[in-house]
Amino acid sequence: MKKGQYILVFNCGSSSLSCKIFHCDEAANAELVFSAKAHRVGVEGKEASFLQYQIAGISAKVVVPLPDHRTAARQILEYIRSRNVPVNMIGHRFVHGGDFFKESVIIDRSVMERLQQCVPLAPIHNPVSLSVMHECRKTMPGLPAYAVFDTAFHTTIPDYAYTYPVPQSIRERFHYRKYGFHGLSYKYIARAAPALLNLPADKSKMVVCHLGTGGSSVSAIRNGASRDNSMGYSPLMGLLMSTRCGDIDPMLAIYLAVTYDMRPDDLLNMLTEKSGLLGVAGFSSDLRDIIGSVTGQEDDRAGLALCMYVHRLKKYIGSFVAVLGGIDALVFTDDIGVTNWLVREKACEAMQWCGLKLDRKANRSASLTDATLISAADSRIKVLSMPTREELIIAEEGARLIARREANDSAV
Amino acid sequence: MILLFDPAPPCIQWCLVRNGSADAHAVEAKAGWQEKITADLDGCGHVKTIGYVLHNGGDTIRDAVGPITKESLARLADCVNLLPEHNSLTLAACRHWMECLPNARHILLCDTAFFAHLPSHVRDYAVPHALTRRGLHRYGGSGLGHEWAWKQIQALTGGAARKIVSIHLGNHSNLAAIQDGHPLETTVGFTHLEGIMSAEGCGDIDPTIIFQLKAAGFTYSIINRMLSTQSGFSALAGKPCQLSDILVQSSPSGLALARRVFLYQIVKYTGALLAALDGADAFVLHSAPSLDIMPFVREICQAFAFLGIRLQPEAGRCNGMLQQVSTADSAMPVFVMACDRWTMLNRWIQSLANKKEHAK
Repeated sequence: MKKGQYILVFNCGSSSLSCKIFHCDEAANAELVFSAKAHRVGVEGKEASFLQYQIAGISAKVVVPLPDHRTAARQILEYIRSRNVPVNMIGHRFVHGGDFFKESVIIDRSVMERLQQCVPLAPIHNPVSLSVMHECRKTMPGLPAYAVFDTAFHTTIPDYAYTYPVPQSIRERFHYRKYGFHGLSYKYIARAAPALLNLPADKSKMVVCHLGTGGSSVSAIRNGASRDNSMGYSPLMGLLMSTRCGDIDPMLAIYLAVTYDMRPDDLLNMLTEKSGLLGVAGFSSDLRDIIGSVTGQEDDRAGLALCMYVHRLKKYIGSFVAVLGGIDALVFTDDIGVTNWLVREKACEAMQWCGLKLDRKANRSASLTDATLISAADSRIKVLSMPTREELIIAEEGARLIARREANDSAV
Repeated sequence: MILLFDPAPPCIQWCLVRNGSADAHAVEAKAGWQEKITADLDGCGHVKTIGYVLHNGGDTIRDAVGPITKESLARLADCVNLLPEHNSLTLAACRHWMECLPNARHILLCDTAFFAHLPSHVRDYAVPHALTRRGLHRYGGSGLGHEWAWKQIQALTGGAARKIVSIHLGNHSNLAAIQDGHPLETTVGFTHLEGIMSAEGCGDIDPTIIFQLKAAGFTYSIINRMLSTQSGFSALAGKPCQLSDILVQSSPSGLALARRVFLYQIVKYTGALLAALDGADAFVLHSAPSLDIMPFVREICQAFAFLGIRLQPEAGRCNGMLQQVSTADSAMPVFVMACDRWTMLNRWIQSLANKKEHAK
């Protein structure tokens, strides 16, 4: 066992669970020593769920039923124990910290209680993270744990962008406002993209599109800090997503409830689970399936779904270019952002008004694993396709928390 | 003499246009309001033409201006439920005066008709397809005003401005992206609640809130009232508040926040519409003549200085005509237009008469 800390991090996606162990030395350099990913967690379908492990240059795939995230976490933790991988600390991604958590925090009993109170803020994501926390405490008792929040990066969004103009009584009682999400991803890109482009991180303006297979958002980032995000109070708003509706007239929800006498739970479920790409195309929530089924004929719902997806993405890029007063860079990240050249090509089409021009060839052959510059040489805005590293950010936050705790201890 | 109706629940606004001058009123829309107007008119004998504004014409009423027939009245009745409070007033007005004045010309002015052919990827929501088929999509709004602005710009620029962003500043502000006379985007959705916050409406908010409020014991009718009549500028200012209150630059903190949010939303949507158009050839900002929007227009345009937009430092309050306020070297011309709604509606009616003349 090397000197330094071995930090295990869990990152819950909507249908996946990613686990990594980093070795962090005293200079807070993080080195990946183990990674695992559970696929198709809780998904019913033809394909089976499975786990993938990578350790010391060896990879393994195990097909196993994974009915929920907690089961997946247990399987992974048992594997880690069986391989004797050292672990000193466990970090958890927690999507919605609301007004309760503005930065990462070591989990103790009172923190756990406040995390519980955050459940209604993200009723799909937050309970999943909590279940993984409970599993860690059971399988690896006594290890210190901490939580990192997606909302934390967005605490710099100014009041005019986050305020919901609803009556003050409910605004204050329920903490209604825009929070913003995918903060870990944006935090990484906000640092890594300017470094790659030789832009000063503290003097740059970027629009970043985090396009995931489940949820997606866009952020406006100025001088390394978030200025706006397309998601809202919850991760339902903004872009059209795989099964989430994105932006919608709030009156439509009331109209549906009253006119069709729908129950609130069913309605929310419909907008969250049965809308988005799935709602429009009707047969799949997977953008790759949809792109493969575009016919270009009349009543081509796959074509319509793709068109809507791109149109809304372009609108947000335009919005954020405007509020930043022009940008230096546009970055595409996460699964769809990095692997889908067609979405990038369409999103960057007809955007010369703001100085954006894609190098179509570079875009089509962009790497699936590394950052690639895909803007044309004469484009005023640099465009990047760039994988994100949310788990690295979680590990670094852990190293920072340890360092702070040690500094506090020695001060005492 | 022309009589015009424009529903604005809980009131109905009406106006008598006589010898080119407009005499505007509003009456509370409770039982007997029609008789009250008739009394105010001192009889309707001189009324030759009546125009009725319809705020949402659904999928069937697709002409901005047109005579009302028995058949179109039936179609009107079919789209009442899309916007019940407004449309039912339009329908009631039509039925009443068509019966009272069978020989007058009855004309429907539809505020969504301009947007009837929005491309489906712009029009639809990403909800299950069955709902979209039932007409639950975006309808756009203030079409009469935006199309009017488009026509004015065409007349002034001789057709040089093919793509424009049209910004209506009022108590229900909204934007339209127009290319070659056709709208390509709007900030108005299924209703006016979507988009930019209004004097009392919340604008874009996360619909999750609605379900949470319901779970906390509020009824849909209370939630509806909160979001449509107790939100927007008024919620941020903490008191009833109109656009004219927040256009003032130096104001108390609640108003200042409302102003910041409002400005931000307009800049944000202007950017979105520029993306939908791949850039514009002109901006046009229009409002009622009673509002001095120039200081606000300056702030909006300041946000687009990065595109090379420059305003004349001396450009003052708009005098009513379409007026260019950008400099000669501005990358894009910016126009402002003070447009009285009644005058504009009256001209729409005239345009119908002219079209008929022309057809003869």
